[in-house]
Amino acid sequence: MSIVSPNLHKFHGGVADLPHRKGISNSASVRKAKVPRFIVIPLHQHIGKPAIPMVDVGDKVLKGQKIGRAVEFISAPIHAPTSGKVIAIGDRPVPSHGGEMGECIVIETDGLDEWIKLDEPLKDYKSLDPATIREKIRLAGIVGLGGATFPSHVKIPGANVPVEQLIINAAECEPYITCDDMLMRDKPNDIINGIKVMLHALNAKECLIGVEDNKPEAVQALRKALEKIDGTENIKVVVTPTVYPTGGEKQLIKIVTGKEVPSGGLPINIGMVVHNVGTAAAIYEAIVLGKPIISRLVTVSGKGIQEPCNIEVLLGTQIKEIVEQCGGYTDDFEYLIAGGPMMGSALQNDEVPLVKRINCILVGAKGEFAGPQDSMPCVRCGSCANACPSSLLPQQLYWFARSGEFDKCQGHNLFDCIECGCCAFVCPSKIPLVQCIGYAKTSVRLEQHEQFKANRSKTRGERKQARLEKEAAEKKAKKEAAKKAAAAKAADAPKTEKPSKDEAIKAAVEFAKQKRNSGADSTATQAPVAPKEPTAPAVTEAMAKARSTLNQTAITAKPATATAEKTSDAVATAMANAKKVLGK
Amino acid sequence: MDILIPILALGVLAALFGLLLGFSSIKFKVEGNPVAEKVSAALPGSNCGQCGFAGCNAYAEAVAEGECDINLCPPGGEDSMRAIAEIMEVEPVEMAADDADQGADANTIHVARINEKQCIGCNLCHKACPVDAIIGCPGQLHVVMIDECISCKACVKPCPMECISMTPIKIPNAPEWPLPRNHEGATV
Repeated sequence: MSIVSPNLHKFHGGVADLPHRKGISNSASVRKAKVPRFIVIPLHQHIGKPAIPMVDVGDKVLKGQKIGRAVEFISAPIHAPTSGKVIAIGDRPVPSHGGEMGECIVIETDGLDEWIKLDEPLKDYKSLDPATIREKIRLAGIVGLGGATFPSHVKIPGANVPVEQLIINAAECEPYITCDDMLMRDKPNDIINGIKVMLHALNAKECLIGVEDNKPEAVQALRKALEKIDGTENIKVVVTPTVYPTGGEKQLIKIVTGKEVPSGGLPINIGMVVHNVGTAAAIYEAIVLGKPIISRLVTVSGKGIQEPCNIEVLLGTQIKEIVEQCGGYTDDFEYLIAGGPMMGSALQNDEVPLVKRINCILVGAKGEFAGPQDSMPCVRCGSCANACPSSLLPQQLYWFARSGEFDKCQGHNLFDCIECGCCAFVCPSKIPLVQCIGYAKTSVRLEQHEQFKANRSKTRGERKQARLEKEAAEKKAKKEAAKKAAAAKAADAPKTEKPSKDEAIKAAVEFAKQKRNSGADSTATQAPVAPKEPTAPAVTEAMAKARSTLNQTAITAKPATATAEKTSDAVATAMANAKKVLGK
Repeated sequence: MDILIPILALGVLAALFGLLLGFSSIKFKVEGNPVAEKVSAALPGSNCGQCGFAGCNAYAEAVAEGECDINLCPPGGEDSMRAIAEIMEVEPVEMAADDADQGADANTIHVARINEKQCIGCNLCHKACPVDAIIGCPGQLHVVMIDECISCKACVKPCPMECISMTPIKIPNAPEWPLPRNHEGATV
C-alpha cells in the first residue's frame, strides 16, 4: 500500500528511476565515533565570511567552547568539539574539489571530553522572544545541515517578515545518504521540539515535514512523536513520491504546497522558510539544551567500505579515522566522495577533516560509479530539458558556457540551476552538462566579484583624490586667513610700527652693506666681527618684522624696501652665522 | 549663359550646406571624447599611474586617440585590455611583460605586502597608494589592506627601505568548477 500523501503536486522534470541504495547504510544502528587524537577544525564551514580565531596556540579549550567568532551577519561561529589544547592555527587541507587549503585550528585532545559550563536546560522556550532565539541559534553556530551550510539564523527572519509556512526538508532524495532517515528514526522528539521552537520564532501558522516514501520507518517515528507531544496540531508529515531531486527546496515547496518560487527569488518571497531536518534537531539542542553544534551524523556508505553505517562524528575528525571506525576500506576501494553520488564532490585524499556540510562519505569501489567519460556530440534529443527540475535548457547553457558567452547563459536563467545533475545523468551522449553549467556559474561569480572590486577601487581612488583636493583647499584657505589676520593686525597699529619698520630696514641695509664690503667670500669666522653683541637680537627682530610686513602688506615698492628684500637673505645667513659663534 | 545656371545653383547649394555644417558643428558639439569615456569605464579608475599617464582618464584619452598601446594597465589586466580592444575595434594584444611574469596562475593575484621588521613608518607608501589601501601614521608600522589592494605596485618604488614586495594570494572566490576536459585534455 502506498503511503504517499494525497493532493500532492508535481515539479517539472526530475529522475524517478535512480537506484536508491539506501539499504546499504540504514540497516545498521547509529554508531558514535571515538574522540580522535587530533581535531582539525576549519574556520570556514559555512556560506559567508570565515570565522576569526579567538584562541591562541597553547590555550586549553573545553568541549563546546567558542573558538572562532563570526564577524558578519552571514557567518557562523566555530566551537571546540572536545576538550584539549590548541597546538596550531594555520592553513591545512580542507575538503574541496581541488585539494585546497583553509585556515584551521588544530586541537590535541586530552581524552577527557570535558564540557564547558552549559546553561541550565530551558524549560519553556516560549518565554524567549524570537530575536533571542535567533541570536542563540547564531551563537550556537548552526548552519543548514543538508549540505548548503547557509547560516540558519539568517533564515529565521524578524517579525516584520511574515512567514506562512515552515517546510522541513526531510526528503533526503540522493541515493546512498541515510543520515536524516536515521536521525528521524532515532530522535523524532528532538526534531519535533526543534520545529516547535522554530514555529514560535517564525510566528508561522503551520509546518509541513516533507519525507520521501522510501523512508517508511522515519515517517512512522515522526507520526508517533507527533501524537505523543502536545501542541503539534499544526505540524504535518507529508510523504512524497521518490523522485530526484525532491530535496531541492524549491522543488519540495512545489510538491507539498503547489506554489512556485519565482526565478531568482527565495522561498521567503512567497512566505515560506525551508530548513533541513538535521537543522531542526540542532536547533532543539541549541535552544533547549544550550549545546552548540560540535558534531554531526554522517552516512558512510558505498561498496568500498567494510561496514557501511551512520556514525555520529565530532566535527574536525579526519575522514581517514571515520573510515577506520567503519572497518576500513575494502580491497577494491577506488575513490572518496563528500556528499551523494549526484551532487557530492570528489575528495583528493582522506586526510581532510569532517565539516558541517558533509552529510555523507561515499567510498566507491571499482566500477561502482561511472567516472569521467568521453562524451559524444549532442544529438539535440532534449532529454536534459525534460529532466531539468528548474525548467531550464541545459543544452543551451552548455553551448554558451563552452564558448564563454556567460551573458547569454544569464539570459537563460543560469542562476536558477540547482546543480542537481539530472541533465548530465540523462544525457545519452554523456556530456558533462552540469559541470559546464557549474563552470559558467563560478565564472560569472568571479566576473561579478572583479567588477565589484573594480568599482570599489574606482570609488576609493576618487575619494582619495577628493580628499587630497579638500586638504589642499583647506591649507590654502588657512594660509589666506592667516594673511588676512596679519594684514588686519598691521592695519590696526600702523603708527607705532612705521618708524621702527623704517629703522629696521635702514639697519638691515646698513648691515648688508657692511657685509658686502667685508667681502662676499667672508667665512663664518669673519662674520661675527661685524655685528656688535647687543645689536644682534635687535637686528634679527627688526629683520623678521620687516620681512613679514614686506611679504604680507602690499606696500608700494620703495627703493629702500627693494634693497632690503634683496639683501635680506644675505643678512639672515650672516645672522645665523653670528648666532652660532655667539652661542659658542 | 546656360553654363552659369548650374554653377550658380551648385554654388548656392554649397554655401547653404557649408553654413549648415558650420552651424551644426558649433551648435551640436560633443563635449569630451565619447570613445575615451568608454575606454575610461573599462579601466580600474584608481589613477595609479603605472601606464605612464597622469591617471586613468589621461590614459583613456591617449588610447582613444591611438597614441599608445592598449596593454599598459596592469591593475586592469587582460580583461581590461580585451574590453578596450573591443571598444577600439582592434585586435587584442599580449599584456606588457611586467604583468605576464606574475599572471601565470589564473587563480592567484599579487598584492603588496610590507615587511613589518623593516618598515620605518615614513608614510611614503601611504601617500603613493591610489586607493588608500595602506594604513599607518608617520613613525608607525604601515600595513596593506589586501582586500583593497589593486596590485598596481605604486607603493613599491617609493619605499626607502625596499620592504614592500608583491606577494601572491589566492583569489578569494576562485572558480570551484573547472571547465571539464576529456582524457586528451581537450575541452569537451
